[in-house]
Amino acid sequence: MNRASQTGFILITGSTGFVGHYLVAELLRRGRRCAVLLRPPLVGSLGRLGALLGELGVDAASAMAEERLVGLEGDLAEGTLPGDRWSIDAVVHAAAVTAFEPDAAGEPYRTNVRGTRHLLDWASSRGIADLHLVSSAYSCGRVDRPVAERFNARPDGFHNAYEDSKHQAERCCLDWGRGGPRRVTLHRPSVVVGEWGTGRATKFGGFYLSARAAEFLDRSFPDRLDPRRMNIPLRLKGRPGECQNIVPVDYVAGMIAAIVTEPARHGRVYHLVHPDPPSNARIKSAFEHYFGIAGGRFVPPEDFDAFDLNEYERRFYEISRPIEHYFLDTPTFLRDQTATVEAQTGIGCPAFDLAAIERLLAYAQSAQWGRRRRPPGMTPGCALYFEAFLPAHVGRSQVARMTALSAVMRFIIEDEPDGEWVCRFDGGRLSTVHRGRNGLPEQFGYRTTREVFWEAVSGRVPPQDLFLSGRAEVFGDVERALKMAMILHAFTREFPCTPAVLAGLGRSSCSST
Amino acid sequence: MLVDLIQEAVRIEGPRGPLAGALAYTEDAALAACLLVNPHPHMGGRMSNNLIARLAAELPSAGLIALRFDYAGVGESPGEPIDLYASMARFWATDTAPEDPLMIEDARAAAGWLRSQAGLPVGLVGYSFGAYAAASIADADTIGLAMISPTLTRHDFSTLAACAAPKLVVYSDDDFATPADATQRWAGSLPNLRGAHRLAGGNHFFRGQEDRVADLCRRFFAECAGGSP
Repeated sequence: MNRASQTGFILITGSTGFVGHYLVAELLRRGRRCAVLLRPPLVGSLGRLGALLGELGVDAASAMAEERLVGLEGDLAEGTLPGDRWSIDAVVHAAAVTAFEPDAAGEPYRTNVRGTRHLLDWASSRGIADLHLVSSAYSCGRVDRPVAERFNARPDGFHNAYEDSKHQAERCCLDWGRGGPRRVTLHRPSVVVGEWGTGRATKFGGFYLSARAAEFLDRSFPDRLDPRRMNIPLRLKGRPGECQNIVPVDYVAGMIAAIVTEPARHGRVYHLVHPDPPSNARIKSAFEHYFGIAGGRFVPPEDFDAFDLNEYERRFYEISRPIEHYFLDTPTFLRDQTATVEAQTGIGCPAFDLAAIERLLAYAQSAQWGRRRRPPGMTPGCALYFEAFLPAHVGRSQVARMTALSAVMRFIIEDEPDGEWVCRFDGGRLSTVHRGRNGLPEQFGYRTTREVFWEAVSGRVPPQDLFLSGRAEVFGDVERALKMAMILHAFTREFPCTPAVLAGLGRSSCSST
Repeated sequence: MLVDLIQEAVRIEGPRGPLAGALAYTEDAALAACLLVNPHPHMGGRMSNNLIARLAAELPSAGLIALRFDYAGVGESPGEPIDLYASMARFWATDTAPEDPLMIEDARAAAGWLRSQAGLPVGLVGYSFGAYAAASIADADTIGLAMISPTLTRHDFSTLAACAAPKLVVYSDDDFATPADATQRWAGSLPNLRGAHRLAGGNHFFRGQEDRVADLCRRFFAECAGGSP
């Protein structure tokens, strides 16, 4: 029996988030069993998580098959949380909304505060005594002194609603911890950016907003030889020696995992911040080098006239305004407890030299700053249908009424690259979509071409007719395959799909990632 | 088929409303009429089915008027839309659908219509579920009953013990609804069995074997009607 089978699960919220999926990957690598709380529909969320983990080299399908990874359907903000099927040893609460300004839906408080309360109530009801909150170093709010690794009960105000909400979440957790023999650990990263070695990221706010503002300047002078590129009249509000505390996501996840998996480290506050963060001057140099621009100069905040901006400055600050204060009011974070863990584990926070910063920029640009990011590993076409459209619609369709419907079926699209999927229905619910030749053994399957596939999912032609006319083949349990074909036909009539429909779905998927 | 085939769309009054049908015949005087009864609609049972369509095209060459039709609410037949998911849910679990008895009554109405319109003795060809439906409506006036892939594992065919009509059974080596050995034994017990043909290399769907099945049926009904095959 291996270690994983001897322990209960660590429940992770926010597992499809930026830090969250790195953390799940790290915990799985460390042999821990992970239960991930995911919004409904579960299969769609699991698909997204599986794809994200796949990008990190973690085989989510195998982990799920071996019950090292399980998905639990729930919604923190709504307070709909899962039952007690799985034994949970600890909770790592990484779900958060990072919006700086409050919105009409009540975010970021709705998720960060109310969701945390729901989670704590649930943990109490389950007798869970070990809670880890992934908070923020900036929950300290406005400070003019070094920030210690402890809870500040009386902050001097906050720069934005996000900081306030994270401070409130910390308070909720600590209050909860005092309600019994419980331990609360606060993990406070600073500004999390992409993986140090590759720049890979899935979220492009914060630090990246200033990079996007620099990209705007680059695009303002499309001719690379235009001499104005090297003499841009841009005043940068801030001091060159101030530092931006950015930390790579892989460092943050590695540290959280090292703390979560060692009980002796619990019950503390950790500042997962950079011990030697890059200065504004170094970041500016990296941006200028990467984009091939120059000319900006720092102006002390007290000398900066915000009412006298030229066109470049106006646009630059429109883009970067949400994070402007981080260039001006950067606290010093004490990190003694964090350094102790680093010394014990050998995990270090790598330096952000110019090359490392440029890797962040290169990745972000290649991902178009997250604007058009498809679900990872997903190509347009049949894959989007199986991995996004089906999971998104089956639960809303009448198929969900067919509680007797349990089957595993394979679809092979012969002329689609890597065009093979296994779908599992349990009680009318699409519980698994697995791409590739391996995975669940099917009871029956269908083999056809892209052209016939699109004809079938358009709802215009019964799949049975495609089989009877020889345009599609079935294999395995033919009777079940033909029955399922009728069910699928009813589904395609309820939710007809075309490549154009998928294109729309792809866009909406992108905006939410 | 070497003779010109006339095809005529017809409308049949069924117990649940009109049924869309298609007659196929030649200009030559017909000896008999034959009703083709479709598989279950949940398994692709419409009059456009590959085997049903081929039978309709081939039987007239033996002096038969062939009638195929769609069950009410299926294919080209109007009718109250069924709760497809509820029906499929039961069909998935039990191999039967709530509409099954109604479809048998559709078939009975179609046979009565054919008899009255053609003024000829009527034979029945049923395929898959249609074999069960045909067996259910066969009576003393039925000149022949051909059952293709009868759904022995799904339905009760015991009424045939009292059915004197000549019978033909066609089945395949590999058929989920009609295990070959069991079908052979069952066919041997039928009264007035004229032939039981096991097609090698086939399955329930007879793709690519439509001509062979049609030929067996054509010969059978020609013999039943007293003509030449």
